[in-house]
Amino acid sequence: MDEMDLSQFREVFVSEAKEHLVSLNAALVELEKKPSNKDVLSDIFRVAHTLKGMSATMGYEKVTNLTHVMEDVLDKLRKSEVQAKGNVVDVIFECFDKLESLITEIETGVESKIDIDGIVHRLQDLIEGKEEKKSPGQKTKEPEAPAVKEARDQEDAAQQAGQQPAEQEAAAGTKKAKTSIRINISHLDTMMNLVGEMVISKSQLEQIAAENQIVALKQTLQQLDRIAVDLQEAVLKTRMVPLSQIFDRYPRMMRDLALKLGKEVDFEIFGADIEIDRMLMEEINEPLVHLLRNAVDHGIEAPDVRAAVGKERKAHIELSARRERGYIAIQVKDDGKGMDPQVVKEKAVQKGIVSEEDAKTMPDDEIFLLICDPRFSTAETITDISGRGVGMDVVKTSLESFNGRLSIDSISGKGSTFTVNLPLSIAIISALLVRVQDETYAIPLNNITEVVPFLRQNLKSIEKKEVIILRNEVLPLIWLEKALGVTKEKDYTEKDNKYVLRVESGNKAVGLVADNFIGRKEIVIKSLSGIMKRARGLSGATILGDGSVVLILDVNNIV
Amino acid sequence: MSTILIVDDSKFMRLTLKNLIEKSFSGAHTVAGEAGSAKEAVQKYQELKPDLVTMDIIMPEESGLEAVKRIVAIDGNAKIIMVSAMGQEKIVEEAMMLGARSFIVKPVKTEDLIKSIEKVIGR
Repeated sequence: MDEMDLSQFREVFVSEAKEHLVSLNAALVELEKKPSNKDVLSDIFRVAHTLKGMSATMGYEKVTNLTHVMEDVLDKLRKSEVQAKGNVVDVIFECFDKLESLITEIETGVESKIDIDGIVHRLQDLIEGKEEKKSPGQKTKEPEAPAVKEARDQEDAAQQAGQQPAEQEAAAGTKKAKTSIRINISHLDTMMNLVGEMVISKSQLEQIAAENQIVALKQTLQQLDRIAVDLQEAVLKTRMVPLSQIFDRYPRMMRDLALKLGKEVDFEIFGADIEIDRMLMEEINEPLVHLLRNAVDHGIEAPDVRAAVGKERKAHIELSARRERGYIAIQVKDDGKGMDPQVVKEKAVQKGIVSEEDAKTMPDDEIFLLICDPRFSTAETITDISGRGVGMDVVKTSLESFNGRLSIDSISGKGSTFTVNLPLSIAIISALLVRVQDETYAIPLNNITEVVPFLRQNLKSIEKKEVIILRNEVLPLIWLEKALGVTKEKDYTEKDNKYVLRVESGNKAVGLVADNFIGRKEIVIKSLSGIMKRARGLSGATILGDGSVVLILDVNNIV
Repeated sequence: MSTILIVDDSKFMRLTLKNLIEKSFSGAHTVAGEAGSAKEAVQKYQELKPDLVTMDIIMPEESGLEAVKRIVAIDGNAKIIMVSAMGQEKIVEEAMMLGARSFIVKPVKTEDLIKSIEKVIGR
């Protein structure tokens, strides 16, 4: 291989090696749960073997030597000469971490003198059947030479870097190696933008055809319309990746966290195969990590506490994803101590987040969301639930920045559920164009469940609030012109020929009153900038075929 | 000129092997296709009818041995070179019994590869 310039393969090596490490970590967590699972063990063995072959080909000695010794340990496991539990698993995990540092070193090209002798010796001890003296879970305290210390710092840095989304890019793709290729994400972004621009130009052409009554052009445009829709979908699809790309790294994180905090956790993942826009996935990683950490740290109780209240010592945390119409719901659910709405309420009032009056009528789900207020949590975490507030404001804001919604449900003593609702994509949406006074607005179609003519006889008043009866359902009414502040006359409620749009946000439904509706349109979301960014009730803008700019209503904010 | 099918579950290994073959023979032998699993190997073999196959042994789901078995069943004259890691002599032996013609050891050395390919194709 010497005459070959291997450096050109380094990139492929690094990304494939990282993928292997993610699956090794996930598989070992699995094996630790069920040490007798031969299938998982042979998966680990195979991946380790591939990694060894790869690094030998590239001439990376440290990776080759380390994987070689590791393979020997795995072989012992396979022959049941060593059991996959306690410190055996810990040492192998440490070995994975070391490999990760080594690969990061290869990737960055920064020599950091990573020392593998320590870990190699410990692996060899396992092979020779020497018992490790430390208790499980304890960090090894080898006497560290300065060089080793440095390497360790590097390792830590590398681990932290591993949490960054940038690495996912490398992990993307090769799962279906046989038919896939790697594409720089920026190319896909460009494609997405171009498709967006094309959709706009197409609408402009449609307008010209309509204005000038050109029949032939209209027909061609219908064809173009179909192609544009297909193209849009195809481009969107290229950006979809399975959630497993981030989910796979959580079991290891949860295991380490539980160990560190002295808790016992049974962590389960569902729906990792659900696909999501890659850009969105990058965005949700951090909030999800936060929610999961919170669940272990503050959600669940220590084993003894659980036993004392008659729960199983081992807590259950579940991460699940499912597709709903128009959005993806991701849930983090624990069976820990939960939150008492009364306690949250009292604290929120005490902190001045809500007035006592408002708090009285507040439904539970809104009360729980108060923990996301930055004022809620303080340094002195005395009460049971105060810890829950840590960083929740960050979680909520970052989710909202890409139209995600957080909802919280909790039963005191039984556990909490944090649900994140995400849009399928962030760039192109179907929207209904409505008229309010002289303005046109776009409302995302997935918020709208129904459009009906406004009938005055259905207008009722309950507790001084206007509602409308829609097939036995009482809908609170919101007059868009008032909500948007574009009212011209005082008696706006007196006019007829209006429409009611039934919209849903979270688990609430309301009726929005608009003057008229124009129709359904695919729109490209352009984000607002400057002072517009903070305008309440608006989530963005789009450009229509005639070149006019239309604001997109943020239904969740209006409701 | 002969065509070669590379079978390996690692994209990286396929890439390096392909590069090695193309450089070493300067076009005399070309890589006709790649397969990432035993199943795909059999399918690609039927489709491409390559003159030679390089076969990785340890792969997910089914091993390279399984692929050798099935390819030989389809084509008794199939020319397969096993690409193995060190310490897999037993498996290599088994592969040869099943009909593989030769083997090379990872990390692949250029001269081994050339020798092996010339020996098998020349036959």
